[in-house]
Amino acid sequence: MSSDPLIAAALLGTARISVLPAPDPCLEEAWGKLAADDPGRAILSALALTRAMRIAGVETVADVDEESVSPPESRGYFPTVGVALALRLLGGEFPEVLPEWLRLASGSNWILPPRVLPELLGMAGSPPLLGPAALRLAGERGLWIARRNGEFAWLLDDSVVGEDAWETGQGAERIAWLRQKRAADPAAAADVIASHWAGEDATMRDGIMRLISGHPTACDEAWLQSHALADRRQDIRELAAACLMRITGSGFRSRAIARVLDLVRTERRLMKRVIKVIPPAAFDPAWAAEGIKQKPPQGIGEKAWWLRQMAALVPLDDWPELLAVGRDDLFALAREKDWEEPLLAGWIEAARRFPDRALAETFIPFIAITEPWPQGAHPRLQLLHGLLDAMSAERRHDMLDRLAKILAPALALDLLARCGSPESSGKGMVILSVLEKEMAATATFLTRPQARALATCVPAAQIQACLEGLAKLPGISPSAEDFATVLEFRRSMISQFQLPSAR
Amino acid sequence: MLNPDQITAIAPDASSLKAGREIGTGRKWEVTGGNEEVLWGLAMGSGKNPYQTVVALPDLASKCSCPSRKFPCKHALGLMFLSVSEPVADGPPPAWASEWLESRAARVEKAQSAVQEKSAKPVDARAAHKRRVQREGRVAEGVFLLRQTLVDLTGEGLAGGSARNPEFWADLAKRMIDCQAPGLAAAVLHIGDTVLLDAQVDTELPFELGRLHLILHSLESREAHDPTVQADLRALVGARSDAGEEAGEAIEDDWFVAARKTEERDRLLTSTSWMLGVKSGRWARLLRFAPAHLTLAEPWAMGTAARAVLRFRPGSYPLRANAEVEVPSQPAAVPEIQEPDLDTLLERFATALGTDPFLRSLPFLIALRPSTRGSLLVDATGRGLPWAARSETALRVDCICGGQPTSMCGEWDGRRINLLAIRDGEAWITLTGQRL
Repeated sequence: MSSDPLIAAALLGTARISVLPAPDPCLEEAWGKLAADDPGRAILSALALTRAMRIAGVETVADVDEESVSPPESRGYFPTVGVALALRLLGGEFPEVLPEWLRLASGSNWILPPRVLPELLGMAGSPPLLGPAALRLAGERGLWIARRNGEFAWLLDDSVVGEDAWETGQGAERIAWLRQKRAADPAAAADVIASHWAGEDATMRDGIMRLISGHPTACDEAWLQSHALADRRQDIRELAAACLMRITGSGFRSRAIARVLDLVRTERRLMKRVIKVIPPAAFDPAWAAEGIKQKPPQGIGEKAWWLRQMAALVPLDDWPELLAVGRDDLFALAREKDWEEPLLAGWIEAARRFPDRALAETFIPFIAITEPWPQGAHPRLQLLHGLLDAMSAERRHDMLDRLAKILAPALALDLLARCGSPESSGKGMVILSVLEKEMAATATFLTRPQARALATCVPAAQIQACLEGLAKLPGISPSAEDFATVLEFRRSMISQFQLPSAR
Repeated sequence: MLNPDQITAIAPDASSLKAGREIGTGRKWEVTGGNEEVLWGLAMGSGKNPYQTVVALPDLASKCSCPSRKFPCKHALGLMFLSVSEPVADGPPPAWASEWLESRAARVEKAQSAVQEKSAKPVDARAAHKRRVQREGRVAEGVFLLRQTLVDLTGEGLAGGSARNPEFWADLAKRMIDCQAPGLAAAVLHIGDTVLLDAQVDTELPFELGRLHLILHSLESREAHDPTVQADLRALVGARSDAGEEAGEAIEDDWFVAARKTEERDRLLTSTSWMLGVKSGRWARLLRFAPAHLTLAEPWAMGTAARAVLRFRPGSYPLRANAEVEVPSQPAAVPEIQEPDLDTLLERFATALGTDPFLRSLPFLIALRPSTRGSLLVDATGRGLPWAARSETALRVDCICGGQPTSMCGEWDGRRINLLAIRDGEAWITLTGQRL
């Protein structure tokens, strides 16, 4: 109940109180008469008077908070048309074009004006490209906001953070501190991780592992082996195993390679060399500590399961040396029929874990046509996506040209949609001609979302010609309509970044 | 010359806006054309024949032969977007566009001649007097009913019971409509749908009833007041102006469109535009109405200025105005005539309340910044007032200000600031929920 007697009287009701308080001491005499005659009207009149007094008599208050001003910007803002376009993209229109816009925008000399920052920051790291691009586009104002709002601390990932950020900062600031510490003193950073690992939550452990997995060093071996490899979460354990395999000379790597050497070898049978497999006879309990599970999933035999897991631990580019064969010959070797499927499943898993070390030039064409696909193995299309992502742009589109000749157009174009536009001239022309042919067809297997995604794969220099080609057709499919709409949007977007002020 | 903000503002929903933008390309049109008055085009749709789309530029009214029930449809929006991004062929409109323009002009002419006919008709003084007496009698009944209801509620106590029941206030509002007092109905609805939801309802409900009581008390003794207060009271009741009532002041100025907000209540859209006279420093409130299923076409976009004559309605502190002629507005810089600090605003508010005790809020244009903890808006002298905003608006204001006082427009109602628009560089940005 209000401490103001007038408000309290109104809330309680005049029927429940005998003496009504005067709104002001100087009005007491007049009030006494008024209140006695008609208490309801009296109290309503007093409320009207008090309200007017209150709102007319408001005074400003001194701001006692410490002032904080954003540093000035060193770069110019996007022009008005560019801001309107940015708002449309960040608002969810043309999501397929957003990565290209982020790349062009962050490569320009412009930053986003402050009014667009909520949309940029609200995307919270999705798509993955956003982090570094957002940092560049947000300017000093964005960093200033991120320091004041914990929810945007991810923007500080690559910015310089204070010495005490590990102890006092938010998750992203702590990761940024760790990144900087590793660059300056990897041994000290490893000690810090080892001493704090047990007390960190799952999100932080995941963040640490993703940071380390890019470039694990010998200093990290001890805590990876003792802490991360024994973590409660399987994805953390898998990342730890992958990190340990990447550390040259780690005990984990030596043991994994020794196990594979015991399992496989090549031998000559008749006119050809064959990969011979000697499966493990029994499960060694020591393997469990290295992430190898004893009990197989339903439908897979125990020995095949152990073989598959052991093969999966070793990156594909280690295998030619282990089997003493050339890098181009590994997948051409015949494999023992009995053990072919688990070995292949192990290789597929190894390629998933180490896509940058998967001998992609020979492995991708090999798995693109492998039939039957091993039971329970990572899906083919996802694996191809991962392997193509790990390749350089030039090699990727060269590979797509090769795949266009051996895969069905639907599958080849699906891979193209994932890979985007070829950046170097001469590469990707075969797959683009498949796309052109499909778009010109009056009926196409491509869905409208697929067509929109494929529109981002046409190189900037070919957009106009592509649109003119479509305009000459007597009629186009609804998917091709969407394809053209995205192309037109890209043409307009790209033209903005060709202005001299953008550079 | 159209600008994209005007088109965005009249889009009925986000999907129409998106579709309109996608259609705003020459590839989607068989024919387009236009002149200063009208745009037309044949849009390629899924039907056998192209859709005939026409847009009248002065008021952005449109017609399309497509089956869409949205208004304006995506084709009309697309045609407008197309005219902004690409020049359309100049020339005379085709027959189907001319026919629509002519039929429209004929309708307007008919309506105007009906008004003229009505005004030229000799006034039946007795009948008019009878109608006025009838209306005033109904309003008096409503005033009596409402006043007695407030007294009864205060007797029972405002902490619970009917006073806290939104349906009770909604029913009471219907009674006020029956009594031909739509202004009182709106005040009663405001209690049910706003005051009862206020975090400080225990304080605000008694004060709001006190304010309403003061209006009713004044209405009961209306004849005793001077003509300007009587005009205030007529406006509060929501009564139409009487014939022969003195016209208000007319001011010619460059009117800057400082803020705009649109509210929907009882299936009626109300758009409120705050205009600031660049030379006179006067504030004016322009209202537009439309049924909720339609959109409001605003000829003057936010952040533009129009050289126009605004005629104010009579009153103690006149704010409500109408444009005599709607001339096109032009992009304009934010006026420099803003108030220096919040204390000056409070002084203006107190003075205005002394003149018009029924005033709810006043607009302002001042350079402010959010305090570090965010609860205050602080002026250049370091003095602040509380403000209320949704979290996304507060973040945008924080981003734009960067800790520095920045020109912003809002309303002060004696409790807190309600921000409506803010300057970001050369752009004038709305904060009232519309798209940027």
